[in-house]
Amino acid sequence: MLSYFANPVRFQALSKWISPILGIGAIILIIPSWIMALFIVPADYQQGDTFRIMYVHVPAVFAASGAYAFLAIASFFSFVWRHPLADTAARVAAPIGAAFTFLGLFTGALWGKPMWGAYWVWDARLTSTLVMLFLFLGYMAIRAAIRDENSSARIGAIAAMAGAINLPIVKYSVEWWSSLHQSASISLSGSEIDNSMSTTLFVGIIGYFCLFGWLVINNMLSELDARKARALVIRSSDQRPSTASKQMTENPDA
Amino acid sequence: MVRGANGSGKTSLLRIIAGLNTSYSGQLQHRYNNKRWLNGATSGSIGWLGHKSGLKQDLSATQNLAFWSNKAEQHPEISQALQKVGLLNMQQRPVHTMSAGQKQRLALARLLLSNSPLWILDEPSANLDSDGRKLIEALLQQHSQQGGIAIIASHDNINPTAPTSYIKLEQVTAA
Amino acid sequence: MMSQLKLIIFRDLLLATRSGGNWAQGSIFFILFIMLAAFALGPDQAERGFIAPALVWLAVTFASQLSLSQLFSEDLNDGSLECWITDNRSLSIYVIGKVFSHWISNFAPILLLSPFAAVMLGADISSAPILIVSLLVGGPAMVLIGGMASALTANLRGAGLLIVLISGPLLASPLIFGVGAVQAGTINSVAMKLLGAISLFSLVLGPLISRLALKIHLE
Repeated sequence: MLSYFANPVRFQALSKWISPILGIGAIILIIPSWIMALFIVPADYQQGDTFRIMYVHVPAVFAASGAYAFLAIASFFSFVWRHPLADTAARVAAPIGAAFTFLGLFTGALWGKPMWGAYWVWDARLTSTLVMLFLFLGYMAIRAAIRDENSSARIGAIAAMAGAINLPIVKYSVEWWSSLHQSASISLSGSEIDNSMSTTLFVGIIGYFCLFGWLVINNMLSELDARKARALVIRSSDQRPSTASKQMTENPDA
Repeated sequence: MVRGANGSGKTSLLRIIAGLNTSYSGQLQHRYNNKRWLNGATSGSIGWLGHKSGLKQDLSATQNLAFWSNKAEQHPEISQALQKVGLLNMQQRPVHTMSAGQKQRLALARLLLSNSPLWILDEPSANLDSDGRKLIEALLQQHSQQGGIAIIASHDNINPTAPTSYIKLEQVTAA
Repeated sequence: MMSQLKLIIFRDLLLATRSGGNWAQGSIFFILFIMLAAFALGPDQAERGFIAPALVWLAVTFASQLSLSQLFSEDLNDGSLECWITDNRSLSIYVIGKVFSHWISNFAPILLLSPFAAVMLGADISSAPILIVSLLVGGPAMVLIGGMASALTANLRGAGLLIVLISGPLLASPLIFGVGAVQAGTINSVAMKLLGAISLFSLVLGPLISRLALKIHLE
């Protein structure tokens, strides 16, 4: 089934349907989750209204972890079956995942101030999310640094998979580390979760995943177009060496 | 002997045959059973001479050859090989003090020491003068007399005396 | 197999002696790092000793990642790597040999300096053996992870910082357990065992990943 959709033309045809579904899904889930978060969910008795940032933070971190899983799986498909479409998916997912990770870290820090009294604490979850941000950045850096497309794809895939193997190890070691150093940490499960809270979170998380999917598909489509444009430029420059190469320098691929 | 213009794919073809490039589409077929052909008379190695020599600049000629042949530096085969390529007087010279042509001759000595019946040579005459090209022709002659074969990508300046078939690669423009 | 391993280790050590002191870069960085860290902390804090294991391990972690950029790229650029393969020799042996000789030439000097650095930072001299053991147990992980990053970036010029960016997240775990092992104060602490587990794990995956990456660079 996967190989059926791995054809770029079929992918383009299919994405015509899926992209609007995900886009609309993102809008009709994320906006209501904000409305619920701001007006319906009761204020926390300890933290007041500031805790409402959780409804941005938690879905962002979920989407970021999902994005890394997506990157690793796409890299696996790209590495084993050498499929360019899987590589395109991995390549476009990385900056989006990095953006979600950054959003998660930033909102986490803002939320940390009222919760822990400090913007940043070296809590296990925050720390391993920070490590994940560096894995995303490392992947993007290595993809950008290697010019040859084929080896960039293969080396990037290896780096992404190595990172995926590393993440659970880091998660475990960071938990071990913070249990050693911190006397007490506040966990979410300890406080009572209102029914409306979990519904809001759930809606938000699904919405963020839709947003991630929509962004990935549309970036993939534009990447495919850019690749086609590059191929055209190279082919025309083969035929008419002088004029075409000039055109290429004048408009680099959009 | 593989011939063709720049960019026609001579190097790519040789790298595929040598097993260095494994990401190609299509099939590599030969008359010999690969394993038996390669592992029969030799340790299974290929005498490969590419654009890059595989020599360490900071080591001397004999040290480089000792490494690649896995023999002691004083081993007679090493000085024999150096003698054949005309570098006997610079055994102890570090490679970085040699000229480009001398380095290429040293790379040929490494090839001789590989003891492989299959040589794959990519532009072996690069940086060599007319004496050097004659040297390659002589080495090829000797190699074929010993029952070896060689696949060579080259421009026109080598004319082997051994029986040779020529392949010409043409540029194919994709439709 | 053993002869190939010996061959590559011997050649790389010989090359290290001719590299113009490249092998000492890590050691020099290590000492500088410790000195500047002490300046940053001020004499009171720097002499108290409880920061010694953390700072020494941190300095070793960074120092171990220096001068890795040439580990594989030189062999890739001068053709040694392709000759190694066409000679039908094992690429895994090659990676292990390279990393091991890098460990001897670059990591071992740092290892020898580490107890002095720890004592300068106020650690008790009796804690030196445990520090050395922890670095012996964790060292393979650091060098193998760095070697993997070096193999991934072997076809790039000036990949030094990129290597640290790739290996950095992977070095978090050995650092955590390494410092934990020194602080635990006994040889058979949980942290020491976990550190050893990470080294063994790297010994399996590091050469495998490096091998794959080098093959790709040759294509």
